[in-house]
Amino acid sequence: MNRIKHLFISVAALIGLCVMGGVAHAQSATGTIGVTGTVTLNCVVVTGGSGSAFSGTIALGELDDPTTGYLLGSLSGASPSGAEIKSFQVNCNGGHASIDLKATRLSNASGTALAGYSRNIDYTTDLILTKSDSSTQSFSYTTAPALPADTTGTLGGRMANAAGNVVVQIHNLSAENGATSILEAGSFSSTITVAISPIT
Amino acid sequence: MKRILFAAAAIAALGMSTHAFAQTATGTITVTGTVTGSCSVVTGGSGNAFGGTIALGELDDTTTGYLQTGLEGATPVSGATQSFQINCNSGNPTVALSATRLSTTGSSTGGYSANIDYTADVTAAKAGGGTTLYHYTTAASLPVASSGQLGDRLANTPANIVVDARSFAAENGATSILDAGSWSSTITVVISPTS
Repeated sequence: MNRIKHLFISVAALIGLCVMGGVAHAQSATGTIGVTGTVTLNCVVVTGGSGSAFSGTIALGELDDPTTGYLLGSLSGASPSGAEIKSFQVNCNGGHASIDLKATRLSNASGTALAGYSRNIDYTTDLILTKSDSSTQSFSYTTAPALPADTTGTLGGRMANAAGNVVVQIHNLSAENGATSILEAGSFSSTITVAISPIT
Repeated sequence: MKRILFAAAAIAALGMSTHAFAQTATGTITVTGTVTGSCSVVTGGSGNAFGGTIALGELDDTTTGYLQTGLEGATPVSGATQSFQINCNSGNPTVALSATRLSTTGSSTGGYSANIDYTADVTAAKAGGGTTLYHYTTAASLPVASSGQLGDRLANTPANIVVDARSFAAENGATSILDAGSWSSTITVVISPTS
């Protein structure tokens, strides 16, 4: 009988320990607060415009050699300089950017010029983009009587976050009817269109 | 002689009877209970877990691509604060605060940022009035958690725990472009019922 009593006491002690042990654990409250944000894919104009639009004018001035009436020889060269170059800063936050480049002929009027004259000038425009590793990538488009399809491509890297990361230039101007055709008097104009779209 | 003995025995028996009426039984019953040290969530969660989201929305200035200057300030912007009620029954709870950087996937170089450091605050209201502040600022190498005792009981009031985020800073400077994508971070607050 005494043994049974001892057994009961031992069991009770064990239960007591278990209950006491469970109660002794303190319970902490743990909070997990997420902080979230979004950066939307975007290309924004820092210099040379605002928002998503940039623009400028390549003002070539007098196009013809006043001693001959022909297109200035200096405009026919492959190396643009001075007024033939415009710079912008466009910030894009994607890992890459897609490019679309096109232009119209530099024209005075519609229709066909008389023999020996020119009212359209074809040219090549370059879009030179600086990447974040300081290297550059170029895209070119050359006008023609039947305008070719847009030049498209992908910038293989990030745009540099730097002034002048977008350069547009023109060169190799060529009168439609030859270097010895006379440019018709009047105002000549053309439009170069550049689209830079952010991609991941 | 026998009679005398019987009589004496009878008197003794009477005496015993009288003695039995005077004995009181006294019972002592002990009632015990325990209140376990505990911090439980009243609002902003349940059980011992609370949580929320500080949704900052668009992080960059869409005219430049840089971190919005409003987020760089020492005062939390609208929406950068979350409130909870945590009830603790101990005399001097301990608060531990840590956070991760606000990050998007990938890494950035050359004028871009894929990580934003910031300061997370916990403001704990005390039962005796006033608050105790805890601050934690993230970094490329995360520091140890900011931890300490409250110095009083936690107030038994709504919003006795306020969490906010402020002083955001792009890893590569204020004029670095933030990488496009989804950004996230986690602030962890542990409130323990210490005495």
